[in-house]
Amino acid sequence: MALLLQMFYAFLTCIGFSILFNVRGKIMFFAALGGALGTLAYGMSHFLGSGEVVANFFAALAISLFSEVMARVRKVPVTVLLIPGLIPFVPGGGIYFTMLHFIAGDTQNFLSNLVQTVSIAGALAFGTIILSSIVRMYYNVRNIPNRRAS
Amino acid sequence: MKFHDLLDVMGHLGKLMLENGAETYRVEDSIERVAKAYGVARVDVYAATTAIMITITTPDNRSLSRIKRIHKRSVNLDKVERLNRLCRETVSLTLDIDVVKETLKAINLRPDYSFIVDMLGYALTTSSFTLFFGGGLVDAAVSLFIGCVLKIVDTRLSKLGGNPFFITILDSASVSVLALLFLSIGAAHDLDAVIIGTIMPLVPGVALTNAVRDLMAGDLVAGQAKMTEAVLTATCIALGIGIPLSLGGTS
Repeated sequence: MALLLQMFYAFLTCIGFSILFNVRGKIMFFAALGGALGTLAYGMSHFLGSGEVVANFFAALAISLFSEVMARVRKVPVTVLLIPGLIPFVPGGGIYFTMLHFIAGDTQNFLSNLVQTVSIAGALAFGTIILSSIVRMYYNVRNIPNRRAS
Repeated sequence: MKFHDLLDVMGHLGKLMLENGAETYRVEDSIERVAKAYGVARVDVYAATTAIMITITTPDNRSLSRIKRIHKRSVNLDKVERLNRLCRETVSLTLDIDVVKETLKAINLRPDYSFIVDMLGYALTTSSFTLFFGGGLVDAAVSLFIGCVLKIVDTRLSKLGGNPFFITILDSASVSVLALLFLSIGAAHDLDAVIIGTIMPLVPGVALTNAVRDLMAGDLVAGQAKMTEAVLTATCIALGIGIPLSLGGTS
């Protein structure tokens, strides 16, 4: 139940961000759906016992998979769906807590938060990269003309 | 000669794509495809975050070049999508160059969301992210208000034409001051959730995502430039929220 609520909040956040990024029409809905699915993946991997960084990685994988598929269905660039969907996972909280410990002069917590923030950013990035590479390879193997770029 | 016009169109297309937040490899790829579709013998494109260079060699072995400087960087995914669609149509139907030119102009002039809708976007983002981060409904209401103020502050400051990084510092500082104010009068309960929610519109999510996509696609220069932008922006946000917090003495 809590997870469903989280997904709903993520959905709303993505809608808000779609407005900031001038996404229009139905695409907005699909981008937000990607964010909600990412939250589901994040919650599931937490439930299965993975740590914060790994959970973010799986969230990024889920969002990318959804975006890559929907981008082909709706014939739009992947970025249009990926960027709003990924936003709830960008470590804004990490930046904040890192700063908080820095001010307090708590070097140990400052460093561990800093490392965590950078790791989350890296995990998100690698999740999207791995998936888009796999999709590209799949299309090359199947010899389907890759329509993503133009 | 038609190749001059073609080069103009290619330069304009690339410039618009980069200005509105497309990835570098997509820009290069689009320009190359357009060139090939119109019978250019050889095309070399180099796109970076701040400039595009294009050289084409015509079938009669003459070389033509264009350099387009990019000053403005924003995110407008609507325009990216439309440019992408235009590019695909141009390549598959080999549209008339003048038609493409007119369409490019029309896309560039497409209006953004109005100020009010944009403000609603800010409010929706900040309030729902506060909830996402575990804040209560009251905290969300506070975030909603701060989100609206943030939009006003950001618009005003951008009009003054300051350095974007400095504006980010001022933006996040005002967020932090407001959050502390609401905490001290007892309206907000969870300072962390409110601040994290309200800085969300400022965090460099796009720069970060596109930076890594560019790096992995082999565009090392563009990727590094964007990565630097992301790290700088994050540092500015931290600075902006940090100064009032340390003076407020809540930490």
